[in-house]
Amino acid sequence: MMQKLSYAEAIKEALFQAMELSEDVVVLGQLVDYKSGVFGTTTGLVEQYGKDRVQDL
Amino acid sequence: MTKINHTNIIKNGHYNDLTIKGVEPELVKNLYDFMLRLRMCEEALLQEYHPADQIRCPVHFCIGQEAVPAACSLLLNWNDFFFSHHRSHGYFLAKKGSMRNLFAELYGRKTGANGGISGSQEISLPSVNFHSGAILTGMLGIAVGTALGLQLKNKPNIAVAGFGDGAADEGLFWEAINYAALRKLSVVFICENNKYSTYSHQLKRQAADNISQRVASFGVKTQTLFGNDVIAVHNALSEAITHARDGKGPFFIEAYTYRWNGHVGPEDDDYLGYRPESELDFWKDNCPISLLEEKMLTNGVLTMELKQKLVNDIKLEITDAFEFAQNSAFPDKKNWEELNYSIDAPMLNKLSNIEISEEFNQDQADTIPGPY
Repeated sequence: MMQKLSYAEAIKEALFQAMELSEDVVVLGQLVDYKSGVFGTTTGLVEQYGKDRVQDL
Repeated sequence: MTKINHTNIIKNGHYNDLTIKGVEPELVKNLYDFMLRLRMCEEALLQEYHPADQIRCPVHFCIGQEAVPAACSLLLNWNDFFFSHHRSHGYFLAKKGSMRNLFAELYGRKTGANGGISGSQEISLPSVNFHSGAILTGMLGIAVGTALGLQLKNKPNIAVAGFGDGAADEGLFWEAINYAALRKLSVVFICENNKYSTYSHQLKRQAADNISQRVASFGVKTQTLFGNDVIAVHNALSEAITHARDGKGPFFIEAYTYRWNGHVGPEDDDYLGYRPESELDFWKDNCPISLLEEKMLTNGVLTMELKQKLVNDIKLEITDAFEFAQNSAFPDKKNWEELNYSIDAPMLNKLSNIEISEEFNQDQADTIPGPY
């Protein structure tokens, strides 16, 4: 059975996968390091990968 | 001191401030050698372009703008990144690219720097981190991104972006400057202000000719200078590069200079009337090579015999580069895949191990109507 995700959850999962695959991946964007994340798309990223790789911009 | 800009430079008349007093003779000689070699290389290409018609790409000649590349050739390490505008032959040679590779690339031969498929405008030399391209302002963004990568990985090398006054017309320019200042990135910005973006005067595009002043307001260190004084350019770039290497953040150099030839050669474009003849005459009279040569001859650092020997050596190198290019084969017909820098995409390969469910509809965009 195919996994069912909301659009926001799918983006978040993709970001986690990409950051896990390569240390060269960084996420830059407005409010991406806030606890709530941007509509849930970036929730937990900064806790996992640190503020060098997840930058509010 | 009067503000340095194109109007004041011409108003001040012939430039007399270049001095080699207290400068290592070896350094002076190296700067001179590089500029002469670059000048002769460009003149030879210009002359050979027509009627032979074997050069297979547009070429943006940098005659008149030799000083900044000359300084770069002595100050940059092989692993420093350089992202250049399309008037790039000077920077290509500064990063120790060979004339053979350059000429062969222009001739579209497989022995060229990029196997003959880039031509002059996009020539690169990945082995020494040299890249160029026609998306001029893009170079600032790419340099800043590179500098971020170097900072995150604690690397000692720096990133340099070379561009013209036209780059400051675009929004990305200011975003890049801001981000470099914010993160104190090890990046050096080199603006060769040659007054025209193609045929368009700077003041037709910008409200004031004060790029450095605007950049300084972001908290970036800047220096504006007469860009045909190669000693002054060397000193300024040396400070800028040391600043960046020491992790003190970005540095912006604005070097006022002038291109002698048409925007894109070898044809002359002065019939369009976008610049006065007297202006071109002024800049030819203030040629970066002759300004230095005059002082070297007076100070005995150079003699006419030494110059003749140098000219002969360079001629030999140029003849050899033409022969090398003309005798090389054209590239074989290739698969598109092989034209990429890297055929292998390790990240993508890892991801593609994830099996796609059979239920997943690969063609959903075609089959499911929606408000796309």
